[in-house]
This record gives sequence, structure tokens and C-alpha cells, in this order.
Amino acid sequence: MIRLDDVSHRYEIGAEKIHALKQVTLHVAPGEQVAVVGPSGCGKSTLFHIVGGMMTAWQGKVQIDGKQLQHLNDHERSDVRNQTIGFVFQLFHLLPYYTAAQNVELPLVIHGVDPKERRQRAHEVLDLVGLADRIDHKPFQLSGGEMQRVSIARAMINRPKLLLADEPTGNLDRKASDAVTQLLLEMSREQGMTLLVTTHQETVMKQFPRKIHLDKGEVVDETRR
Amino acid sequence: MRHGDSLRIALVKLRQRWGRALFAVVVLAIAVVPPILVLDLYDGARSVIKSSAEASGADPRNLSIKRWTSGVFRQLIALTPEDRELIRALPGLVDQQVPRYFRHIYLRLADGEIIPGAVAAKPSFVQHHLAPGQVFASSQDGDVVPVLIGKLSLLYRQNLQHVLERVDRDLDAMIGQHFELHVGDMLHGLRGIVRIRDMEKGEYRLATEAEWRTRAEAIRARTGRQFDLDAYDSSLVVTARVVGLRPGHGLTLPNAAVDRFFTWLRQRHDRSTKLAAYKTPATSKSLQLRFETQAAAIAATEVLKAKDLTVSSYHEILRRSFERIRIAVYIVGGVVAMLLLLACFLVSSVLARVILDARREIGLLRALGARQSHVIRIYMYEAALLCGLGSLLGVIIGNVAAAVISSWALGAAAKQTTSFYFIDRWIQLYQIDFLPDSLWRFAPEQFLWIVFAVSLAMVSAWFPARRSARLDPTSALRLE
Repeated sequence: MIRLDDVSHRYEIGAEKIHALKQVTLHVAPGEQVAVVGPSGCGKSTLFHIVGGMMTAWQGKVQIDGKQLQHLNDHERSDVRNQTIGFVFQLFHLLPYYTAAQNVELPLVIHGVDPKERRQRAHEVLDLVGLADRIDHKPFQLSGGEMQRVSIARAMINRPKLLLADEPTGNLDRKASDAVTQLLLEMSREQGMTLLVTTHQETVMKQFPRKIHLDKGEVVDETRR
Repeated sequence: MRHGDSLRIALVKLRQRWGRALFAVVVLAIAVVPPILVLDLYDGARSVIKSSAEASGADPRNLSIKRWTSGVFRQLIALTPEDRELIRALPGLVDQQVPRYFRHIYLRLADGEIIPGAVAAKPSFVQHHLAPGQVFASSQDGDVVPVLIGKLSLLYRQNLQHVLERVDRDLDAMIGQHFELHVGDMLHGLRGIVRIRDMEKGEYRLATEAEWRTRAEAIRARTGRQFDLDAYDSSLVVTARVVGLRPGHGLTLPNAAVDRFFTWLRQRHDRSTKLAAYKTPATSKSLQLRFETQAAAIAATEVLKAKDLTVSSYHEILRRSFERIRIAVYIVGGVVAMLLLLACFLVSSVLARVILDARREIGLLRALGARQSHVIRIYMYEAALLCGLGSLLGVIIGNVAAAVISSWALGAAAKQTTSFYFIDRWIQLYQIDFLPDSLWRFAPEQFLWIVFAVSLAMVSAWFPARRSARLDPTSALRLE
């Protein structure tokens, strides 16, 4: 599902060059649940954005669901993001003026799905994440855990093959964090989605069968349960 | 992404940021108002000028002639008897009259009795003011009978107002009864404003000709007498109409009172520096001639010019009057252009700000798979909605303002001024020295202005929208 070969990336801030990823090679099979772990600044988010097709790697090959991202134009990469990948962000990134259901519908709106159908699907996934009673609530009326569940519902509405979550529990308390992690794992299992989560929290990483340790942009360790 | 969804997102965004949206709408409205005002008033003025010009002057069969002296200080002098002979002999001459500043006052008396004594007993008046054949028509058994009591010419409307007030007061005192004084500004057939004295309040106000006719109908119904108001349409008429005199009751004006009245009238006008226009055709310095055909007018021009007379067609007169005020047009046109530029700049800034502020949203939409074109489309819709709403508001305000200004200008002009100046969209200026029905007209071209404003907004929005849409989602999302 995910195939990264010798992927390197660097940022240039003025004259300074920061190597965020150094020759990372990573293969993730369909349906696998993987946690990318490491301290802050180790390159987790850069990896998340490169795998998600939001950023183009400076060097190396990135293949998602058999498609070489660096060979795709902006149009095609947008379509991959919309139809193959579901995103969960640390800061939720919900539109404040939309209700939970409207936020969840967004990927379908972008895809051009009929309003009636997308409304129905939004209700279904919100029900799946346990927010059937929060459909018409706006983000400011929801707790952190609920906002992240809305975000997960939004990521899943297009039935993606790959679910990417960047520090999904980073802004949540322990209880909500556990609930969100469990939800992600369950959804991934039930829907057969590949799940790649970046995290620095031990309680989260422990629950994943495969863990990839990053440090200073390099894969330093990999453990499987 | 469907167009309907792009539009819906744009609408929701506007609703959420209503403060900024309102600001943009108001800025746009302000930008749109001046051109709408100019368009409306121009259109109104143009239609008035057109009808007036067609009726009065800008007919190629019409000429204006004058007698000038030569020298450094050119002075207008009266046409000589030889000039008049020449004019009378011109082939195809239909009519000659003194310039249009002449106004005539008629007194309508009751009982079917024309009261010539009061007027005819004044040889000086007849000599200076009364032209032969100008006694007005009367009804056979009239409750209302028009009688010419005087003819005066006025260069300025202030004079007209003062004179009318004085006439009103003096006649009231002389006749000892209430009467209405009407000013029919039927300048060369122009259907204009009528000034009516409100009998109850004792105030003057402006009314339309239609209202005047309605009142005439009321008089007709009340008295059962037939008379034809259309008889006035081709005249320059100020009518003093005595209303309500009973049949059998004649009107006697004391000679002393009449004498005093006309003495005052003459004094009033003798103070003017432009006495020429007050003269009867026999002594006037300029004449308006009308010929059967344009060819006859052209032939007459050659004859008159050969005799050292100044001859102008009405087309030329109009053109010269436009040229005189062209510099004012440039100044006002420049100011309007500056306003437009300023408005364009403000609109661009507001839209750019709106788009740049929304970069995090753009990042999210892009992350979720929106193409650059989808994002740009949403902001195009937003800009179009803002500017459409703003320019529509501007159009409404502009039209209301034009109507108010038109009404105000007419009222003010009736009291104080002789001229209106309007600028048209091609930077040309018209002068109107009469009172039209209305200067306001809904100009259909203003819808083009809405299209222009919306296009401008979309061009302004396109660059920042494209710049934001090109930003990679990661950078945009980091702008938390």
C-alpha cells in the first residue's frame, strides 16, 4: 500500500538546510496498522505529508496504492488525496462555520457526490464514530475528543484505502486519547484500511502491532508485535 | 466539485465573515454610486435636451441672427429696419420671433368679459409690451376668460419668481379676490413644470403639467365651461388666472393701481443689463427664424451673412455652449476617474485580504483533495457575490440619490438658478436652462456597470486566489 524507497527531504530556511528525512525506506502492506514514533522534530510530520501527497519528496520514490506520486501532476495528486487517502490531523482542522455533518461531507463535496447521497453517508459514518447525536453541532459545540472523531469520520467517508493520522491524540486528554486510538484501530480493522499513525505518545504506540522509530530523519528501529 | 457546492461554500463563508463582507459591499456600493448618478442624470438630461432641442432649436430649419458692431468690444445692437426688410423678404421664412427668454403674463378674468380698458388704456404698456394680436382667446360665456394684461421678458428665473410674487400680491390687492397664478413653462412646446400657488397655505410649489391639467379639469367641471388648455402649449405662457369670479361680476382695475403695477414691472426690468431681449421684435437685437426647409435656411444664411449679420444654426449654438464648459467637464471627469481608481484599489485590497486570511481553509480543502481550480472557483464566487451585492446596492442608492437630486435641483432651480450642468459618460457637458419634468431617468446602461464591477472584482480576486491555491497544503495548514 505504501512504498517509500530512499526518501529524503530537506527544508531550506534562508541559507540553512534542514534534513527532515534521510533515505527513509518503508513498505507497508494493505490493511497493516503502523505507528511512526519518535521525539518532536524527528521527521514524523514530514513523512506524514509526503505519504499523504501534500508535499513532494526532495529525493526518492513514493508509491501509494501503486501510484508513483512524484510522477503525478497536481490534478492527479489531488484525486489521490481525495479518493485513496483519509487524513486525520492533530489540530482537527474542522471548518468552524460548518456543522459536524457538513465537515464530514467535505471530501464528498470535493468529489462531486450528489448532496442527498453524501448527507446519508455522513450520517452513517458519524453514527459509526458514535456521534449520531452531534450531527448538527458546530465544532465549538464539541469537545476535543468529539472533534477528533468528526475528523476521523471525515477521513473515512470516502472509504479510503489508507488512513493517515498525524498525532491524532496530541491535543487530547488520556481518556479521549485512548478512545480515539481504539476507534482508529477498530475502523481500520473493520474497513480493511491501512492505518499509518504518527505519534510521540507511548500509550498510543503500544497499541499498534508495528512501530517504526524515527530519529533525526532516519529510521532507527522497527518493532513488530 | 460541483458549481452549486462552490457557490454554497462561498455563501457560507460570506455569512460567517459578515463584517468584512459588509465592509466590502459598502465600499463597492460607494464606488458604484457616482457613475450611476452620472448615468441617470445624464440620461434624464439627455432625454430632456433631446425633446427640447427637437421642439425648440436644434432643427436645421432654425436660425438665430444677431447684429454685431465691429471693434475690440463687440456690442450687440438692434436689428435695423433694413435688416427687418431683408428678413421679411427671405424665401421660405415661416416664422420669426424674439429669443425664448420672453415670458407673457395673461390675466384670465371671469364672466366672458374681456377687460381691455385696464390694459389698453396704457399706451406705454402697449407700446413696449403688447404685440398686436396677442389678446388671448376667450370662452363665449366664460367663467374663465383669458386676457392679456402684459408681456414681459426675463433673463433669469429669479426675476420670474420675484415678478410673479409681486404680480400675485399686487393683483390680489387690486382685484380683491383670491386667484391662482400659474407659470406654464411651455418653452417652445416643452412640457414642463408648473408653479402653483397653494391657496390654503399661500405657498408656491412645483407641479407637473399633468397636475395642472387635472386642476384645469376640476375648474372645468366646477364651472361647466369649456376651454382648451392645449392652446397654451405652443406659447410661452405665464398665466395669472382668476378663479371663482361669478358670471355678471366684471372686474375693474383702478387705473392708478395698474399704472403702479406696470411701472414697477418696467423698473424691475430696466435694471437688467440685458434689455435687448425684452424688446418686441420691432426693436430686438436678435431674432429666431424658422424656415420651411433646411435648404431655405442655408440659402438665407448666405444672404444674411453677406449683410454682415451674425447667423447661427441651433446646432452651432448648442455646440458652442458645450465647448464653453468643456474644461469643467475635464475636471469633474478627472475626479470621478480618481474615485473609481480609489474604489478599485479598495476592492482589490479587501478581496486580497479575505483570500489571504482564508489560507488555512484553502490548505484543508487542498489536503482533502480539492484541485487548484476548485479553490479558485470558490473565491471567484465569493468575489462575484460580494461585488454583485455591492454594485446592486450602489445601483439602488445611486438611483434614489439621482431621483432626490433631480427633485432638489428642480426645486432649487425654480427659485435660484437658470442652468443645470450634466456630464455624460463620454465626457461631454450639456446645459439645460429650463425646467424639465424630471432630470432622472433609469439608465439601462447601469446594468453594464454591475457587470463591470463584478468583472473587476473577479480579476482582483483571481490573483490572490491563485497564489493561495498554489500554496502546498502543508504550508497552508501550518498557518494556524
